[in-house]
Amino acid sequence: MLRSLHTWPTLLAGVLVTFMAVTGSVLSLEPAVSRLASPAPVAAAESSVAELVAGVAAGFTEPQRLVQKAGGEVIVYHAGETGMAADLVDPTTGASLGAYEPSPFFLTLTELHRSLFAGEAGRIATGTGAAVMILLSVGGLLLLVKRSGSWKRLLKPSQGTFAQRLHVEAGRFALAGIVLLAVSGLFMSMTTLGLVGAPALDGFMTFAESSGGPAMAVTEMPVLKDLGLADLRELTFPAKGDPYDVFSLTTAAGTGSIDQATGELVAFTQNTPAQSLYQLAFTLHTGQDTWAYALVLGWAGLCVPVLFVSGLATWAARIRKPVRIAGNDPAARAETVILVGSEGNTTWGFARSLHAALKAEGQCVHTAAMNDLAKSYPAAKRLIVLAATYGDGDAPASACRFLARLPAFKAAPGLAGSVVGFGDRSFPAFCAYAGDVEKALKDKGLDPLLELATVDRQSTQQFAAWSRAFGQTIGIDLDVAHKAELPELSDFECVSRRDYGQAYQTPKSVLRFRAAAGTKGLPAFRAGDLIGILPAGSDVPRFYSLASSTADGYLEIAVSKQPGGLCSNQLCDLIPGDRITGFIKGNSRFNLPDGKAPLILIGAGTGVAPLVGMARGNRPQKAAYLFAGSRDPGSDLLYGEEIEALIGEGRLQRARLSFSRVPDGAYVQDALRAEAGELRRIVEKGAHIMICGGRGMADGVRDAFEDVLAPLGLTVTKLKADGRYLEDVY
Amino acid sequence: MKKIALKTSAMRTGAAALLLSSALIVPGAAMAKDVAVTVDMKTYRGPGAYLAVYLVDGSGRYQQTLWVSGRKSKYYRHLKGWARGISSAGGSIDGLTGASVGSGRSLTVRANVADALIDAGYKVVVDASVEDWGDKPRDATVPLTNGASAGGGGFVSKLSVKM
Repeated sequence: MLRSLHTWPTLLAGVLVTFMAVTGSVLSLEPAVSRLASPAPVAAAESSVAELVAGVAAGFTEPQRLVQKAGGEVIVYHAGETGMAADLVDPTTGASLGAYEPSPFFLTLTELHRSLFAGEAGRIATGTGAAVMILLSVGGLLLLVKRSGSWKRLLKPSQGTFAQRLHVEAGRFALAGIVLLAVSGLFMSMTTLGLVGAPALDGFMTFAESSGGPAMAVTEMPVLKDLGLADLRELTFPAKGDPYDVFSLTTAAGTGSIDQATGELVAFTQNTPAQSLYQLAFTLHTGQDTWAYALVLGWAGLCVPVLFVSGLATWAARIRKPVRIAGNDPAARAETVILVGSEGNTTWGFARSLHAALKAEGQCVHTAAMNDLAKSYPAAKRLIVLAATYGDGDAPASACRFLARLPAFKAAPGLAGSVVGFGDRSFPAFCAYAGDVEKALKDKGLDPLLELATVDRQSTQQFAAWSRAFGQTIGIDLDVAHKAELPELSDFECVSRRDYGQAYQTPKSVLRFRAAAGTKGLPAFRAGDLIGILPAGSDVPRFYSLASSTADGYLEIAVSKQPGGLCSNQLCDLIPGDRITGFIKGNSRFNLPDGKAPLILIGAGTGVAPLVGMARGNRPQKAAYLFAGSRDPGSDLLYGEEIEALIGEGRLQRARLSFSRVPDGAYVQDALRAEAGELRRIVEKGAHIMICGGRGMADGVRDAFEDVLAPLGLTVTKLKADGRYLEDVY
Repeated sequence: MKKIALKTSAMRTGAAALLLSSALIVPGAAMAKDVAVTVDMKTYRGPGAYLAVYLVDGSGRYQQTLWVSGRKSKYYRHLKGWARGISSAGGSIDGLTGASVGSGRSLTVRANVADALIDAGYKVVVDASVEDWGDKPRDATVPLTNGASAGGGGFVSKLSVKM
């Protein structure tokens, strides 16, 4: 619902809104440009309006109107050769300073911006555009809150595809400015169109008249003598040859008329609240008197095309007909039913792979969106649900109606179910929606075929593991090698290897690569990013954390040899000169944080590698503390010498190494508890904590940190929500 | 200060005001003449001008509307000589309205004017207003006499009368 309110107005009015934002951004340059072209003359401190008006009346044959602009320039419009001419005048003496020539470019653009050269209809269109912009801003903010999980997490780093992140970042940057422009613009449109601030009855007018006697000298007029120049907005002279006409005066406070014979104010109307609001809206919208403010608003406006394009891209990715499931069997006949809850369509990819694998085993399979849950599946023996999670535990797009439809669903006796959750462990509500679905299905009477399985960040390995377990329960040999679409591949050449851990039958190697000869050079990456390596004989990539940045001039990874692991075995057999094929995958939430807040790096085994990579790129201004764990300093301590060197260079403040297989050995989490006081001191300085290693170590570290943080009234969950507790776990 | 309601065809409400002004316009009778007033506009930079073409007496008092640009009364205050006059005298402008007149264009207004006003010191006046440039009340004034013509001080290049 909220999303429809964000999408449909954009599709209908997005081009208009974008056009107005772009023209507005160009117009935002006008105050700065005109200020550069002609600095505003400064009025003398004691200048009076009467003197100014008298000077104008004497210097021009037929002055029509005198206007003081927001920046202090005084313009006189007077009858000229071609219609009306305008002169810039000295605000003290009223003497002409030359023709006032507003740039025709900006004049034309202003007209385009406010009425699209289409008169009244154009003004209605632009007013509507402003209203749409307000709707989109408010809707976007609410969607962002929903997506982030809560108001408090609104400013946390954004997740998702490039287009999604761009949309969120641009939106956060520009929201305030855009809302200000849209609200003030809408108010001005409504005023111009007569929807607010108009007289109660259209057509009624009041006019003041002069008494008709001979005109009084301007310098004698008490009203003008008493008026300060700063309060003057506009003065219209009486028509030449019309003794009954009046001076019309606009001041900061209101409008009135001056009898040209007596020089007295014959009528004065204070500004109505609507008029005062209009002046405020005009000032805020145009930034006429403050060029720097106008430029800031211009930047906000420039974000609108970015938001439009990134929003369209996100929308297109969502509505693109997700999958044509090849060989989809009818729901009524299927033995196995696969239901998919997907937000950005990646989960559909897994579903398609699973569907194809089951079909290859001769199964009769039906795959559909969770929202398309039927009343019953008469032939089904198994119901598989692949469910992503949106935001803080909400249903993803293709499952938003699933739980509402579930009560009407009749599960045949003996129907068994298995739920696989897809998500990102860095979110607190990891796979929360899948958990809800599993519980609901159990309540519905489905036999659980397997416990809830989870897939972190589209891990093909985790999905394959689930598929093997699932295959066993139904007596088929199932190994779903889901193949995501691969980015552009590069070749890398091994230049060195260092081996560790032979003593414990857990061989580990640190491998260093360079761009293979004949390629474009190293792609851009930072320590903590991932490389997806395609082992020979498989096109399913395996991901390894990078221990170096492009700036280091080499690409480095640490590999632990897994028994039977295709990729790790190939990597551990590499010798200098051998080549591998892979691609870089950014992992921006696990890169060296910006700023000077201290850094606590915690890792064990090969998990130490990316942390060392971050220390290599660190500067002494940011104090970094390393906690590294391994079995035995004599066997599997990775980077021992380099850690000492990094301390010598100041890139690491201190390192504490823990060894588990030595007398009185300890794990890295024990070291954390031992240093609890020091850690609390560092955390209180706003430290970022980065953990890399296996799931077991990460859980141990988490428990240790809960103990460390408790006296501060902090929890790991709180630090995670603040983006200060970062895990890269495998 | 006086208030009147300018009636447009959208808000016709009774005939009192209408009667007041029709005293001077005698439809098709021998006591009136067809008068053609032509307004030639200068070539200026800006959108179309809003114009009011009307008659004043020898002392400059408003008498009768011949033609007004635009059917939106909210723009009328920019034609202030005319608007002030009609707001004092009252009257309907039904059937006397038309579009704005662009730079370099010309407008011819045909009206039926009582003989008593012709060659009797009455004048034809044009008020003009162009958005962004401002208002020019009494842009041009010419005696209500066959063949009279005069230049304008603002957006009007020439105002002429034929009958």
